Amino acid sequence: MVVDRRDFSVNFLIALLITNKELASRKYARLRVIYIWFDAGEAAFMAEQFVPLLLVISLALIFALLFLGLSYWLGPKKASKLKKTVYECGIPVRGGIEIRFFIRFFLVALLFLLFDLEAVFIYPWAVMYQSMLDGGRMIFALSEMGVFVGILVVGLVYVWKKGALEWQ
Amino acid sequence: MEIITKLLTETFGLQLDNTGQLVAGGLTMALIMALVMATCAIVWTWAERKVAGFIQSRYGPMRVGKYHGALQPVADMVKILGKEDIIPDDADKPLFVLAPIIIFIASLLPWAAVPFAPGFIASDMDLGLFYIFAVSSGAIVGILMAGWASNNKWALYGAARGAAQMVSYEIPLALATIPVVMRTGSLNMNDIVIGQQGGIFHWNAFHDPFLFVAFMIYFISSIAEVNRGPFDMPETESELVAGYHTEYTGMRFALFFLSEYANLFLVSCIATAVFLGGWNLPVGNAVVLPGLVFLAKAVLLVLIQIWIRWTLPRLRVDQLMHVCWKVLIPLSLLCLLGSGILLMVSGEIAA
Amino acid sequence: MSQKLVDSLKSEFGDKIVSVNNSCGDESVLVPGDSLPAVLKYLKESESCEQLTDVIGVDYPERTERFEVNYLLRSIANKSRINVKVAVEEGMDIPTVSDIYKSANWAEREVFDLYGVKFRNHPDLRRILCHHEFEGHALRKDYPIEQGQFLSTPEKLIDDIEYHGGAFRADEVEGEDNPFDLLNVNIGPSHPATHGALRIEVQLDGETIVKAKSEIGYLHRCFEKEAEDHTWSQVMPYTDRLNYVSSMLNNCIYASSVEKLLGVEVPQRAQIIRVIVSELSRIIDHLVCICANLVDIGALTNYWYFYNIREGIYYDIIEPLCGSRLTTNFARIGGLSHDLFDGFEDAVEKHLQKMEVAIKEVTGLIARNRIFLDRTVDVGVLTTDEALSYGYTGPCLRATGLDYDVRKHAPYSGYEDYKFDVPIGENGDTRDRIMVRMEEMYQSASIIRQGIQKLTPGPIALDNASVSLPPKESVYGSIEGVMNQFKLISEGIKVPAGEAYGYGEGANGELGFFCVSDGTGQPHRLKVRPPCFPIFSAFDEIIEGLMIADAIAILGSINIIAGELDR
Repeated sequence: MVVDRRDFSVNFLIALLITNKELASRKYARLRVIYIWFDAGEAAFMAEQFVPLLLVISLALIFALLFLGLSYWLGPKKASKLKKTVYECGIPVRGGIEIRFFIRFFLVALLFLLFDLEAVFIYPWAVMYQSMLDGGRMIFALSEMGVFVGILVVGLVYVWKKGALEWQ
Repeated sequence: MEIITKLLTETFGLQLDNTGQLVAGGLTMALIMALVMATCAIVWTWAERKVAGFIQSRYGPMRVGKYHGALQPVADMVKILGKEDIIPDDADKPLFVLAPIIIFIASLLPWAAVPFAPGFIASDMDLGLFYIFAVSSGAIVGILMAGWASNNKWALYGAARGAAQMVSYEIPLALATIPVVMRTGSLNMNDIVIGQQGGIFHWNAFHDPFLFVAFMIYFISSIAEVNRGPFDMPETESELVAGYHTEYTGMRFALFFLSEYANLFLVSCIATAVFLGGWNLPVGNAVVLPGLVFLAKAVLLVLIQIWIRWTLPRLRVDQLMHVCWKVLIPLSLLCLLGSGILLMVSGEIAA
Repeated sequence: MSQKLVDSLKSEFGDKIVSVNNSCGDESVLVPGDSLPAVLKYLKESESCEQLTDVIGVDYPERTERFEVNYLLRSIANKSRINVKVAVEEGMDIPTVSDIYKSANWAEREVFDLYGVKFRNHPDLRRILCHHEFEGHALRKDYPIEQGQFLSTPEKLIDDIEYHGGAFRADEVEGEDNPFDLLNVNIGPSHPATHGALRIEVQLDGETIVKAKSEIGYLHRCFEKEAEDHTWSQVMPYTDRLNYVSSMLNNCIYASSVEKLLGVEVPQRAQIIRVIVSELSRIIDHLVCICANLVDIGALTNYWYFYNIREGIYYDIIEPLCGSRLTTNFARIGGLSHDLFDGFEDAVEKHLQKMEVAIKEVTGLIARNRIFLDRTVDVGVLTTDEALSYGYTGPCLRATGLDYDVRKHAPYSGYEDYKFDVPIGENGDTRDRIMVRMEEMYQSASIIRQGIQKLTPGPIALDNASVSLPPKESVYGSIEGVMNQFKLISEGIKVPAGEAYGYGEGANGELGFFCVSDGTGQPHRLKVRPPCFPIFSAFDEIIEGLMIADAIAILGSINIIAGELDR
């Protein structure tokens, strides 16, 4: 059974089953192969981190459904044709909303992808920055990100000059 | 988490194996989080009205409950439960139903990584900060969904504006926290708070000028991120009637409303943890009543947000984008660079 | 001064002038319909009559040329006015002057709507106050006042072809199947920013308004038809409902218009009290306008800072004075209904001081606020010439930099005896309109203080049995009193036949009443010239090319009160 141990979902599922490193090493000692491929300790650690999230999600869902169910149970149900029309300041709606969406918003979405990805890439560097400094690789640490951010700044300046940031 | 498990096993004498411990502890923690969030949201609706009232030389709610309309939010909730739930005929029904639930969940999820006190955190994950940003963007999907599914032109505008605004402001929001991560060397929320021990000048916000600017950027962006005045583009009741939730009634609307207030409190809590030293006191290393200290700081930030909302006029959409792309993003990049150099230089001096 | 205009017209057009008339000091010339554009053009270009104040139709069923259309012209530079009249037979049309004065566009539509007089070459001759399905013309004397009509379908402001204009554009450019590029949205009638009921259909390209068309008349109750069915004094409560924010002003200006036709002058004390309550009303109107406008911009807190003051004035001054807050019904033809109550002066002073504090607070919040300035400076700019052409008066005109104020320009009620400044703006943008109003409140406060200084005991109504009601003691105590009261109430004040245009400075601009009397106790015609009407007619043009948020800010700053807009 060969599975990449970096495969998140598999790891996560296993983590749900095996929640303790000692436990894993004792009980599943014979399943050596599994222990090699799935670092049960890591799995347990991940379980500790992510099981609560699963619980929070389900709890939020339960709460939301509970609220909605309660209001469905308690609220009046006297719908009428007029009540169920879409609101447009009291005038019957002409035309739908299935228009070609305004190009502005599209541009913003593209720019967002660009810059948010940038931020995502900066995070690992930021985490390592201090240790890189401690390791004496100062100039490298800074210039590496300097080049990366610099390219993006050039991009920003370009977009700015092109007028993509103007709304009108 | 540890506190809860300890409590469960030792005080209540529950015999739990590790899995059981994990599930029981997690569940209790999640329950507490959900309750805290729901209560906070409800309390904040009242507090906002009271504070707004005081700012506007009036009283705000006074009738329900003995003291200053203290039970007003309860009365509101009860009233909203008894409201009719209307789904327009032209609406995209599944999406219409799903949208408030998604927003509600998205506003609850980030709480799992908020460190209220040492050990009092639902999930002490290494990716804490990253996780918070990741899951809170779920709200954007919800807003777009709500606006689109309503088949209402105002809602569509609100949704489009909301999505554009929130994705834009997510960038300075994320970039502003990077100097903190550089200083701490970790994304774990607990580590970030612990790294700020030792008095007010060890708090990230007041540690050095770049971090202070980063804090300001974070604070401004966070107001925009939760769509509050002066950045309440998706709602703008005077322009878009009610924006993306124009067609929503009763409890579905209330879910939007609750999420808004939960988010308001959430960004304040994150700012407290990341920039204002979390549960650390302004002086000394001692940890005294950590939960209360944390809450006090967060509440202060919320009050400032309320104050801003009731003081400033609203920006126009293009001005809002202008502020984000042409002011906050360049500034946050500058902060990043400045922090890097500062860390390097200070390391040099120390060496 | 106006005589000069008549002479000039006579020398220029000679025998084309059918007749010249002077009624209560208002000069009027009757010209044939076909030479109307030439006359107006001449007056505008050679005699600097910058403004067409209003176009007023009057119906005389007994004449062959049944309808008379009055064009009220004003020269602000020369401080003169003239009324150019045209007589029209039923079914005939007259040339439009909307290419000379932009204000004629809506004004002629109104005459068309209510009388059925057609205007040749008018760019957009549709009904304006009545519903588009309405049949008949409401102000004709043969339209029964009780006759209601059931009307349901909203008008298509932007017709189907224009509606799909975006479609054609997209087709041409890219040959796409999905045609929609622009989104049509109705702002109003039931929209938070319309502060009343009016509708603007806008075509949006993203956030930008490409095309806008507005519809008014949602609050139309044909006040003018009602007036023709009541005695002159019974009209007074109806004027409360015109600009319901500053009803005292409407009362006073209506009363003084009828007094102009009667040729009487009210006693000194009544005049001073009228000035004081008018200025109080102006303050209230400006407070409400600014605070509502700021709410539209998103600065909610200012609302309470101003609204509290307004409430204070209503509860502590207006209500004790006349028994109600909004529907004041305070002035009477020939005087006032009540004298001031004890302690009036102190109450006024107290509230003026509060008002000054509030203005200081609000100015502090917005005057140098970057967001506020970004939202208002250079937004909704109107040049002085355009504003004049559209018939702007009041704060919106003064914001463009022209110091036209009826109180200075043609003083009435003794305004010439008060010292005050006329604040003006520079650019005519939204900020200027707000700031002009702010400053005007200080000036009004100063006028009120001067008025209180001037107050001396005396009668508050004319001692004239044919105009004023007798005092109660006389009604209950003597047969003459009873008879007098009975005649005045049941038949109304017998206003001599004639016509007069009485006007004053309302809160939004020039408020005028064009009164035509046929000698009976009821008006033959009573036309209101509401300041909002011409101001709002420019709105479509102002907002085209701006964003939704700007349109909302501008709509607040020009202070549309649907009550007087729709009448």
